[in-house]
Amino acid sequence: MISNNQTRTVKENIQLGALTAFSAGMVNVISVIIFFAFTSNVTGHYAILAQEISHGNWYQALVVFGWIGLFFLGNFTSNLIVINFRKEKAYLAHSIPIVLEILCLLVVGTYIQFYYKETLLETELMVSAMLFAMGIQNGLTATISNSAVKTTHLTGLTTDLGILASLFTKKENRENPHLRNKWKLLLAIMSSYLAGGISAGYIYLNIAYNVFYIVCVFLVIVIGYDFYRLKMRSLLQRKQPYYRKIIKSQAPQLSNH
Amino acid sequence: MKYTFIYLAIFTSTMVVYFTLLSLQESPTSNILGEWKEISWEYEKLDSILQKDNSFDYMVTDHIKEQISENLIIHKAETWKFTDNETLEMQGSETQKSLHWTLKGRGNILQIDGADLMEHYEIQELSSDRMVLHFNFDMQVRGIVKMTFEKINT
Repeated sequence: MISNNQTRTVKENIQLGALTAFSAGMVNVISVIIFFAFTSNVTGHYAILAQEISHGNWYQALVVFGWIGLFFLGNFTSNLIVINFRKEKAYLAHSIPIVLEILCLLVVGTYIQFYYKETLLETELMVSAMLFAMGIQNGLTATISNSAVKTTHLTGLTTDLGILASLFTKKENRENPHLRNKWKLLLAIMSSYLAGGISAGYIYLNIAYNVFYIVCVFLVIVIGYDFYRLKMRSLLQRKQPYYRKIIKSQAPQLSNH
Repeated sequence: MKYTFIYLAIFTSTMVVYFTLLSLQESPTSNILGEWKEISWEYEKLDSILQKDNSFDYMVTDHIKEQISENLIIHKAETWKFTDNETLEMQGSETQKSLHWTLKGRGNILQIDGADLMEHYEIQELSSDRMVLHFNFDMQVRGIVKMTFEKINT
């Protein structure tokens, strides 16, 4: 799902997009419920920034500017890690940003559980950490899928869906496998994001801040799935000569060349 | 190496400028502290054809105000005193309540809780002497009420 960025299949992109969009949808809804601020909706933050500047609310404008900056920094960090370590160990380079994201969300979840006093400063810092985490995730998925998957960019996704829907009015486009695959991917991301948001809103009533731990489980699945696949493949290659012969042409995805 | 230095310089200078500017601004948490007096209740937005009528009076009458706020935590409160230990003392001619307050979002949401109730008000304006709060209501007609306050004591 995350180990390969050169020859990605549609299935890999759908798996990656669906799982990360589901967690982004959950994080966004939870942040609105607890902190009254979106954490994966940067377009909205630009609108709020403009509104606060026009009203002369400089404190709020600076806070929102800081949030946008942290989303930017998240994207910057994940891509920096990927481009510097991908050549040696692709899986590791792609896993580190997700581990960072998990750490951010664990810190937020644990802080809310044990220390949160509901002060404005705490709220601003928690939202900052979540925007940084969402930036990391969005940057990583966009990088490893060659910009095919952007899990928190629903404006662009809806635009693409609208364009594709209109393209499908022509028969040649309906039969174009590339466009059909793109349609499937975008629908998977959209529905997963929505499903994540709905389920977070629903389960928050019962399990409160524990939702953060559930999001972390989803992200562990993302990195764990590839780890398992790579480990299984190398194990099978070592233990089964016949299998080794069959998969000879399929190079293991431990690194990208 | 040169570009690493440029990146670090931009990052550091942005941080310095950002936190300097932020430290110069008054936080909504400190702006809200003090005693506030309600000076008006107005309809801000109405989901009704009444809005198209120019003769419609946007000021909320005492009778309607009584009905709208009947089930709200702020019922019959005329002065609101925000203290720095997050206690909100609400006083009316017949009532006195002690509640808990906190700000959410970017300081644009006022959360008031106490007596098993929790309510949220949107802060539209907050300066050292004036506060405007909005809240949604759904009684007779759907809409938003604008509450304006004036600071009487810091």
